[in-house]
Amino acid sequence: MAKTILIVDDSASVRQVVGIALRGAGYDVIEGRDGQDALTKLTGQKVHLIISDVNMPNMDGITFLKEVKQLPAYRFTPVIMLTTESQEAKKREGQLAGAKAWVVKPFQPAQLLGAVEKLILP
Amino acid sequence: MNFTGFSWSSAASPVLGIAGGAATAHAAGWTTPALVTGAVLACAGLLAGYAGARREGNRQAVDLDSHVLSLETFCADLAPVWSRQIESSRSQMEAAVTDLSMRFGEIAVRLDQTLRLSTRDAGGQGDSAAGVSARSAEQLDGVVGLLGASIKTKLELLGKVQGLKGFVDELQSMVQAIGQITQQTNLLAINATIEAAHAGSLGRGFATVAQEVRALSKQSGETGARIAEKIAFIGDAIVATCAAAEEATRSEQAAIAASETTIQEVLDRFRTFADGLGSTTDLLRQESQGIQEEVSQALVQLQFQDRVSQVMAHVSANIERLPAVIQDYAAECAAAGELQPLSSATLLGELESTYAMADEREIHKSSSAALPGRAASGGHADEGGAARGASAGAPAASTDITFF
Repeated sequence: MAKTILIVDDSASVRQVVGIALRGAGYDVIEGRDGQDALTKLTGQKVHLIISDVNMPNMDGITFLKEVKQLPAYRFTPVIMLTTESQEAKKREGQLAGAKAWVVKPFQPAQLLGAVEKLILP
Repeated sequence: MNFTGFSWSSAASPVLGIAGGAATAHAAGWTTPALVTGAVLACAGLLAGYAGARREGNRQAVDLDSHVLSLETFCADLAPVWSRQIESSRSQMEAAVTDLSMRFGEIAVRLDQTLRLSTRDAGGQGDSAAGVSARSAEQLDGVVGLLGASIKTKLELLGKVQGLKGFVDELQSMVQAIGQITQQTNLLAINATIEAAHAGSLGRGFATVAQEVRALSKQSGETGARIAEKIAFIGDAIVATCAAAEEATRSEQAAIAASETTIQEVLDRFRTFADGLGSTTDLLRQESQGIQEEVSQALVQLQFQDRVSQVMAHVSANIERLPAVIQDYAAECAAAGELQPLSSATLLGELESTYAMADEREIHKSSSAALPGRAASGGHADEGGAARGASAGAPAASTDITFF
């Protein structure tokens, strides 16, 4: 059975590109437009990994990450931050919030898939 | 009351008044009436100068207010239009790129499916055209072999049937021998009968035996004749069968030979076609892989829409702030009663705080630091620096992944 990955990004084209890469590798994908919308998708279904942007309206990625870590069903779900942010201070903030990896956009699909395979829940 | 206005015309009135009063007093010999007259002239001059200065100050105050008001109006009129145009462009670009991403995605999926099919066909279990050709040749060779074995069996059977002809000849010889024996026996019986007659009554028994022998000889002759007839019939049948079998065998051998030739020609043509098809398939597979790679890179490039969209959103929001900043500036000038220096530091600072990307910060830094004496985060944009930053081009797709 295919594993499920949640993509969170306010850009529809980025969700599209990431979705293409993940579906091509055999994963099922669900999408959230921002942190708040993504939280509504975490209603108990199994999610094996989350890929989230940082700068989003309504709820940014760091806040979303902290909220996810408060949910018992998802606190151990690995989260990859996929963002245009490249400053070390921001990376550190993501690390402290519980992110497992930080990928700077634009990304090469092969590299992202490598990170997914490394971190995704069994 | 605004005394900031100054002009040479307003300064001349008091001077002339004082000079006129002094000259009048001097001309009148500094008498009391002359002094009074001179004082009045001087006061008139001073009053005129004061009134002039006051008018000038009020005029400049009105100019300042209208200038600041016009600046406010200028920004209030332009900024929303610029901002909405930028936002409209950003939205249209995002919609178009999203649609383009979706189409490229569908192409990528179809190419992937096609490549999987062609890879499976090419190699897995010999289902390629070459494999089919080889297996077909093998199976057809097997059929030809079976036909050949059948011919061989028939030839063996023909040999056995032809062998029967030899037995028929032997039987015919035996029948002839029987006939001769029958004839001899019959002659012997006749001679016996004659001798029995010569023997008189003593030969009657012998004559009876001789008659029986003649009868038996006659039956034997008749039986022999029937046997000969049957053997001749069988012999004819065997000969006919052999002839037919030989003819059939010859026909089958010719048909098999023709079939082998035809099969070989068909297999050769099929092999040539299969080789050509295989080459074409390989080429198509390579091209499909190349196209798949190009589509993948195109999808990477389309990610730049996200970066551009962010930059445009930041700039648009900053432009929207311009009317409010000018309003604050107008209040500042009104409070001070004079024009104040207009600083870009507030807006540039707000813009800088929205930056997420290294190239945004680089452009800001190079643009702001270009003019001497300007602060790094203030000052006017250096168009050359901005152009240099922009012409560096979009950064390549990142391989920067940090694992925590």
